[in-house]
Parts: sequence; structure tokens; C-alpha cells
Amino acid sequence: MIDGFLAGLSAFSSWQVIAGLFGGVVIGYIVGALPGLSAGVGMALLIPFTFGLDPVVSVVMLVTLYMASEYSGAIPAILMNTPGEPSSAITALDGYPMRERGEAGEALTLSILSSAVGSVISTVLLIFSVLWMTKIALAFGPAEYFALAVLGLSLISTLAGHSVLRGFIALLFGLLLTTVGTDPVDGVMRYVFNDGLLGGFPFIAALIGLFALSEVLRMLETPGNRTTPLKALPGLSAQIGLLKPHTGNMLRSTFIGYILGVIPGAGATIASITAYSVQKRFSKSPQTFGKGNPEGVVAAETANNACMPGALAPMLALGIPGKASTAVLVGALAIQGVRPGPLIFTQHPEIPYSIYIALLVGMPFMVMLGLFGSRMWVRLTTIPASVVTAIVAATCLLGTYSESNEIFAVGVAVGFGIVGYLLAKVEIEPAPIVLALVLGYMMESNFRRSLVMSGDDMTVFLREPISAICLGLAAIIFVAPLVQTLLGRRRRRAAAGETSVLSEEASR
Amino acid sequence: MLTRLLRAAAIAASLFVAPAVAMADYPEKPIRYLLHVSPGGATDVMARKLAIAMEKTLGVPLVVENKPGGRGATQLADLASAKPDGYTIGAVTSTHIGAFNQTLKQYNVDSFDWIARLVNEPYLIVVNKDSKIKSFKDLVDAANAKPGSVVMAGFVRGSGGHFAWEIMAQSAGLDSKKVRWVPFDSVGDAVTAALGGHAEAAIAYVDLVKTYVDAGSLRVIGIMSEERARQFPDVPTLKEQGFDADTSWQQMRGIIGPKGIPEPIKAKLAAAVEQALKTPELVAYMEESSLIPSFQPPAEFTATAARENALTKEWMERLGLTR
Repeated sequence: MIDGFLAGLSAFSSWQVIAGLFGGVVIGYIVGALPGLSAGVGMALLIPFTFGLDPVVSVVMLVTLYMASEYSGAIPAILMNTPGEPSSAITALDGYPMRERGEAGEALTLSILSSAVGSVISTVLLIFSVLWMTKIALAFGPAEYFALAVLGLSLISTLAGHSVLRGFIALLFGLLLTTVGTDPVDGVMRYVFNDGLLGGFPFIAALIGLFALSEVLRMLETPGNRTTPLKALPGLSAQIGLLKPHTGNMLRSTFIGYILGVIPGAGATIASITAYSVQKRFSKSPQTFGKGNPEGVVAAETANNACMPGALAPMLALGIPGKASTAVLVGALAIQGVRPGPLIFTQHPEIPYSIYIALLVGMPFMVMLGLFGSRMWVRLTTIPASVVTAIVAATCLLGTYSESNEIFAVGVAVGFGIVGYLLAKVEIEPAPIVLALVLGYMMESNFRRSLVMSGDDMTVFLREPISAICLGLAAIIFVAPLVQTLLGRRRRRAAAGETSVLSEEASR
Repeated sequence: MLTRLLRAAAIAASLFVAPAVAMADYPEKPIRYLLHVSPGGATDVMARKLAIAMEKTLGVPLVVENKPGGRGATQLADLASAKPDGYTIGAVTSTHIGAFNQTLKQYNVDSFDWIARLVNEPYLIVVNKDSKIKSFKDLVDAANAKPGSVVMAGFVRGSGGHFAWEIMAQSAGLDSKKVRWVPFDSVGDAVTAALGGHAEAAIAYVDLVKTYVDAGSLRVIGIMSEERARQFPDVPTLKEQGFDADTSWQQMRGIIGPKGIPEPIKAKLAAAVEQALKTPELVAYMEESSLIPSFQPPAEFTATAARENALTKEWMERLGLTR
């Protein structure tokens, strides 16, 4: 390992690598903050420019871009309810209400610091556990993925906010939407009236519609140039001190993010949703989640940044790209004649080790930009709403188009914007819909794949240990809140009885 | 009505006149090269290297444009509506021919001009290192002894890999009851399932499995080609193992254009492709990526495409995938 680090460090002695590192972080900030331009797309756009570069320079640039964009998606999510990256939709759930209370600076500070903590701890985990993690990555076959998706969907019971019924309606609506597209097993087209739907509803377009455009429509309701007041941030050390109460939350969320990153096909959005739900369970004030609880911002941001080093484990050690962004990394390395996979640690040790060093060295730079930014970008909130809505709407539509180069996707975003606006009127929140959009395809395709493999034998899901454990957990998570509510009702009734006795005594 | 007639006449005139003028000094402006994939994948990398090499011969830049989306629909829509003047060309693979017969029925092989074939990739079968199956015959025996005990992982039903397996299965007298085809979202996912031991075997290409085979985690039990793969000299072909499967069924990559490109322009493009494939950079790349150089000029490539299309149609019908 020490030899590897030395090889990696010697690669860092060239100015090109350092330039690549800084360039990657800066470009990553921009890519992440622009809605529609996700980390994977941004990295892909950079690929043609890496042709003539040294393999280490190109991989360092792409990895720091990936890292920074996973964070900076939180900035528009908090300031404008516009998730820059899919996973920052979860950050927006509490970040945007915080901003509406004038706490944009605090939310941004928490998001950058918790991102940094998640990323650094997760990178250390990656360095020491990369080879063991391959076992986890390979342990997931169709049955396990199905069970994992069900486990993810069971989180609805915590995500649902104040009304479980509304949460279910939203979840089922989302699942219904995922049936559109090419059938994963037979290739039959389902509800495909436009070629743009062959792969199902474009996810990023739907996300932008549900969050950003529906918010734009809502802002149109209040005429006049309303601005929100902005609370001032304390000095730098006190700013960093904001993180203190969240230690346990960050450790849990980092672990969740890292493991879900390792599993190919899971990813940052699932990691954020899971960490958010888990934190809500642990929280002393779960009722304020979704209404601007800083714990929600910390959980979501820690997890999505911890996810990224996790995703590098199967990519480096197995050559399996579990996500769109790591697939681009594999491609970038292939151009340079480097094949990620079981042999990379012996044939090209400088590649994995320069990635580790880039993640650790690039982080302070990313944090400095973020902390400085938390004072700068909040000024956006002082811009009149009429101007902000126009800019948000324009960037959202442009971002949606740039993601797929299809005008149909823009129509989808607008459609989802209207749907999201109407659903908000009946108090149905977008988070469960996102959960369903992320997991619906994974659940269906792997369910059917498992049945093809087992010859229509349903018991396969209980025979595979990981699958059985996930399904068991899902059942517990699903049933627990119901039991809690029932018990709570009984307790309340009992308590009500007691007070009446007490009041009787008092009246004597 | 009159304007429509006039417009039709204008289009007809431009079809006959414009190319004649343009042909003499073609090419005189940059050529758009449309891809159906996002940057970074194998097809993209190959196309970009080819574009750089062809630029040297043709003297004008080839601008690579990534048009992913709709599983090729976005790229083909752009390509089909472009002027057939040789300034818009596109990448094509066997997957396109599959799509003409399944998801993108608005097109067929005759909707485009087939300019040049670039490379071929033969299909092979891999199994997990812990599998008892050591050869294709072992696999056939296992499937016959206990139907359904072996499942074959690969890309979607109706893909080139799926037909490759059906061709292999037919040569061994196996049917879908004995070995079930399990479709994954990509060939890579199928290989991962074999790596994790979730699927007994998978259909893939040399390039995709090479690192795993070298590391000892996967084993190749047969390759569907005339000759053994240079990368796996110890792996016998299916023919050597006594199974007569159609070795011409391989994953191909080529270049197409909108219908109606004048012959001289097609010839010029094809000649540039042929020359580009001989440059040291591309020779090295093809070798490293285990691609077999298989250049074909327009006439032969058109025939190849028609033959592949007929076979695809036949298999689609046989497997009941023509819905």
C-alpha cells in the first residue's frame, strides 16, 4: 500500500496533475450546480478533452469533477428548490424550507461541511476496504436487487411526512409512471407514444419538473417582488461549529452512503433517501423533517458524498461501472489504455492511488470554495422573486434539453411541473414519487429476471440470504410505524384517563 | 397545393443537381459524424479515433456528435432527415438492425445508405471460475441432464447476443426449456452476474471479459468464430468442439448515411475509412480492444446488412419476438 501511495504521490509532482485537480473541482462546482447537467454528463462532456492528456491527469480531473458536482447540486437545491443533481432533491426537502426562514447561509454551511466529512471518511474506508468491498458488490444478483428495492420502497413509511395515506398515493403514482417504457425482459413497448419514452420517463426531466418548475408555478401565486430576510452568518470558526451537534448523524449517513455506493446500481439518490429516513428515525424532532430541520440537510449531503468513493470500489477493483458517472471513468481510462479491474492494483497502481490522493487533497479546496460561497451565493435570495423565477425556469428547461438533446424531455419537465404543482395543492409531496422513480425499474426488472432464472419459483427471494434479510427488514420498517401509531393511540388514551383522575384529585 | 408542388419540385431538383455540383470537390466543409451513444463508451472511443484518422485523408474535420436517447431513435431521426450529400454520416452497429425489427420499425435497412464496415467482434461464452462446466460440451450435457439447471445471461431478448446464443443452442440441439435466456440491461451487467455466480454462464465479447479471464475469475468455454481469439489461444472455437454454429453472426460496427448519397461520394468516404483503419493508432487500438478489422466497401456492406437483417427477421419470428 505504501508503494502505491508513493507511486501516486510521485504522479502528483507534475504541475499538470495539480492543474487538473483544481480544474476538476471548479468545473465540478459548475456542472453540479446546473440542473440537468449531472455528474455523469459533465464528465462525459470533458472526455474528448482528455484524449491528449496523461492518464493520471485525466483521471484526477474527472474524479475531482465527480466529487465537487456531488456536493454543488445542493446549492441550487437549497437556494431555489432546484436540485442540481438527482440526489440533492433530498437536500432540498429541508434545505429549501430553511432558506425560506432566512437560514440559507446556515443550510449551505452545513451542506458543504457535512459533504466534506462524508467524502473524507468514505475515502479512508475505500482505501482500506476496496478489495473486501468487491465481495459485497458481487453478492448482489437479481434476487438481492429486488429485495434491496423493496427495502428502499419501505422507507416510504418514514418519508411520507404527516400523512401516510398521501405518501402511499404518491408512491403508487410514481410506480405507475415507471411502467412506461420498454419492458425490461421481453422488450415489448408499454405506453410508448413517443420515441423519447423508449427508456421510460426521462428521470432528470421529471425531477426538475416535480421540484423546480412546480415551485416556480407556486411562486407565481404571490404577486409582487417578495424577498426573504436573510440571517447573517457567524464568523468562520463558529460557522464550522454549526456541525457539532450532527456527529452521530454524519457517521451513520457516511456508512449508509459508502455501502450503497459500493452496490452497483444503487447510487447517490438511494443513499440520500436512506440516510434521510434513518436520521428521521433517530431524530428527537422527526415531526420537523421536511419543514427545515438541519439534520435532514446533513444526512442527505453526507450520504450522497460518501456514496461517491464507495462507487469507486467496484469500478477500480472489478471494472464494474455501477453508475453512469463511473461508467464514464471506465471509458476515460480505456481511452488511455488502462483497464480498471482485478489487475489494476498491480499493473497500474498509480491510477487508484492518485484517485485516493486527489479525493483527499481536493477536499480542502472544495471546502474553501464552499464556505466562501455560503457567504456569496446566499445573496441570490435577496434578488426579487420575479427575477429568480424567470432565471430558474430558463435554466431548468435548458438543463433538461442539454441532458438528452430532445425537446420531448422539456415537455416532460413542464408536464411534471404542472403535476407537481397540482399535487402540492392536495398536500401530496414529491419525495415519495422520486423514491418510486428511482427504485421502480430496479424492482420490476430484477423481480422478473429472478423469476426467469429460477423458473418461476417465488421462494428464490427467501432462499437467498441477503434477499431474505432485506425483505425481512422491509417488513419490519413497514409495519413498525403502524404499530407505533396504534400503541401511541392506546397510550394517549391511557394518559387521557390519568389526567382526568388527576384533575379529579385537584378539584377535591 | 401549388406551393407544395413547387416545394416538391425544388427538392427533386436539388436531389439531382446539387450532388452533381458538390461531387467534384467533395469534401469542402466539415462532416458531421453522429453517434447513438454517450461519450466514453467503446463505440464512442473508436469513432473518435476513426474521425481523427479520416480527417487526415479527407482534409476536412469530422465532427463527432453524440446523439444518445431513444435507443438510437434520436441519432437515426437526425440522420434520416439530413441531406444525402455526404456531409452527415452516422455510426451503426448490429444493435441498429435489431432495433429496425423491434423498437424502431419506422426504419429498415433500406432507409439508409451503408457506407463501410469497420470491425467485427465474435461472441463467446464465459462461466464462473467455480463452475463445473469446462467446455461447450459440458454445458450441453448439463442442460440435457437437468433442463433448466443452466441459465444464460446476456443483453435484452432480440439483441445480437441473444441470437448468437440461439444459433449456438440450435447447433447443439438445445431449446429455451433446457437453457433459459436471462436478459440484463447491458452485456456488462450479464458478465457481472456471471462473476458473482448468479448466472451460470453469459454471452459476451473478448474485450469485455479479458481482464476477468486474465485474473482467473471467469473462464471462456467457447468462441463462435472461424479462428481462435488471439487473446485466448487455449480456448477452442465451437467448430473445433464439434458444433457447427454460423460464425458469420458477429457484432459489427460500421458507418451509414441518409439514403441517396451519390456513389462517388460513398466511394470516397469508404476509401478514407479503409485508409484510416490502416493507421498505426487505429491498428494499435483495435488490437488492444480485441476488435477484428473487417473493412467492407459500400456494395458488400449493403449486402451484409441485408443478410443480417434477413437472419434477424427469421430469428425474431422463430422466437416470437415480432410483437
